[in-house]
Amino acid sequence: MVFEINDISYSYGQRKAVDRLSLGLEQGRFYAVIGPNGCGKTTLMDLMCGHRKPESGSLRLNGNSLDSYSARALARHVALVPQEYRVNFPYTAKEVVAMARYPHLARFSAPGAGDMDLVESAMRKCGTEMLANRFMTELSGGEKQRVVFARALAQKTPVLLLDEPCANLDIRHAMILMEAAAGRTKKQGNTVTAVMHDINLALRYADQLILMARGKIAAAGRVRDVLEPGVLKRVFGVEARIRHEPAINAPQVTFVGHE
Amino acid sequence: MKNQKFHNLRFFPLWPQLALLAAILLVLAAAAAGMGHVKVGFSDVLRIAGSALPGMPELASGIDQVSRAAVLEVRLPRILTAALVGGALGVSGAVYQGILLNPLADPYTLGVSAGAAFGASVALLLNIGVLGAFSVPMFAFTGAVATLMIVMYLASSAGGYSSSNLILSGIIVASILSAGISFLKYLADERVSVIIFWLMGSLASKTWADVGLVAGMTGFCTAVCLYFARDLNLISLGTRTAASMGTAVHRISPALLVCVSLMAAICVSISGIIGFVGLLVPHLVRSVCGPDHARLIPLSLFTGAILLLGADTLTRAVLPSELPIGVLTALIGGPFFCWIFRRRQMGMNYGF
Repeated sequence: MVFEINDISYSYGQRKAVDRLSLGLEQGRFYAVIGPNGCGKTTLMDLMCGHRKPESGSLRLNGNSLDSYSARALARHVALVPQEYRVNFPYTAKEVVAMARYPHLARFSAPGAGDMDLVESAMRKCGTEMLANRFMTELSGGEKQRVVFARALAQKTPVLLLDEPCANLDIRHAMILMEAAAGRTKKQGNTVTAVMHDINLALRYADQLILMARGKIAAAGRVRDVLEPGVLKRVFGVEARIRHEPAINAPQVTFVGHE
Repeated sequence: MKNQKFHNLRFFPLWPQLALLAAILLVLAAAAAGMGHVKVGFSDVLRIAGSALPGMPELASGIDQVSRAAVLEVRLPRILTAALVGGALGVSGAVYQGILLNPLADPYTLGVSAGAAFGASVALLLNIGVLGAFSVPMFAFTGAVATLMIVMYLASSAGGYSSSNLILSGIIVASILSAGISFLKYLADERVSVIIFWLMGSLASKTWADVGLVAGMTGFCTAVCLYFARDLNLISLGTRTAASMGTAVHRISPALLVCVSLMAAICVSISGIIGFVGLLVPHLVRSVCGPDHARLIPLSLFTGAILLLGADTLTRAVLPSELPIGVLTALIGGPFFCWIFRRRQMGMNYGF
């Protein structure tokens, strides 16, 4: 078990965002986290990357409490693609991706050739190599998102957390990025957890599905065990039909109506 | 790929840039030390400065005592204070802008200047002299630090310090204090001119003690900021990003804000309120050398020093009568800021 999440809670003032949630993530799997707006998906990502501390309960990474990792050590194990990627300062795209190497470098040592290779290959995988010398302040939303995705890849961590990584992307780039993430689970045995709103895109790449509602896990497990119209109705309040799509060998959902 | 993006110096090594700025600063300082009512030649200034070092008093033989006193006792302390205050304001502006994710932040965003002004106004109004010449600076510093603490307290929440909360708290507290200052001015009657003069800032009659104080604080705080330069880069991308990339944002951001605020507070208490340097210098440096804090901080230190020393020399020795330095920096800096802002709107300066 890479991540063991045991009975954690977190609230913003009176509102409970994550409510006694437990979850285990196994190595080499691609988890898609889906759920309606405000169900605590982003807060869960924040708790897993150490940005927020749970009020109760515990998180363990590779058997050790998350608190036992320093911020730098944790950043060598877990990378996050956050939802917001506004950059107010004119860093070039390559400078931003190269920052992914900071947690691996001594404080004053410059990145070496190996680091720059990782940076360049991550940028290529996300189709951002031609943006390398452009300023982040000038890129479109989708271009920035791809650069931030490349940064998370260049961080070279066993665990990748993606918070709506395709929200602003055209379908081709969405597929390119999801394939890059899925490739990491298969080739390097990395663990990917992706919060997604596009359920069909999620089903195409994920082998595990986590459905969240009101700060709790509504259902979790292998896609074929979890996905059925009843659970989608319970969690999202929509009528859905599910069929197997042979062209991509994955289930796809057609939404018929809503409550 | 567009080659126009490479017009700036961000890919050029840092050390030659720093060496060039240091050389400009030294020449400017030596030239400024010769200017004023008593003119001293450039080489004489260097000899006088050298003669102050231990074991070399014969360097200044043949130079009259008036010149020597003017340079060593009056001008050099003022020149060094101007350079150090300018550098400190430049560095703290750069760090404020990075942490608050706001290119419009400056060293006074968290109310440091309003607090210092209020403290100084109280001391001037009540004519407090318990600490001799240090009374007004002490009150100013206390006011600045107390204001900083109140602003940080107001802005803190369970999730740490958000930049918009900090800016909003700073504005609220500063406007209360500025009303307080108006009230003190109203009470002051004939002493109101002393308060107004202090608020406009001045580097006149600085002593070697002032130099030592500002030098110590600026050196220490700049070193701390440089140590955390990479963390500042990550913080300037947003707290969530920084946290996920190995920076303990919840501890480092407030610690650095306190550090640079203390540096700004020392500056304000010594020299009064000098606007625009802290806002303008990081912008200028960023547009030419990029936003990487490992470069931005040392380059802002030297650029701020050169600019404020230049402005102070202008008002002291070039203009027919001495203009308050805070007024001069605002009068030059404001329109200059408008110009580069307009250039950016016209898309003429990509690195800005």
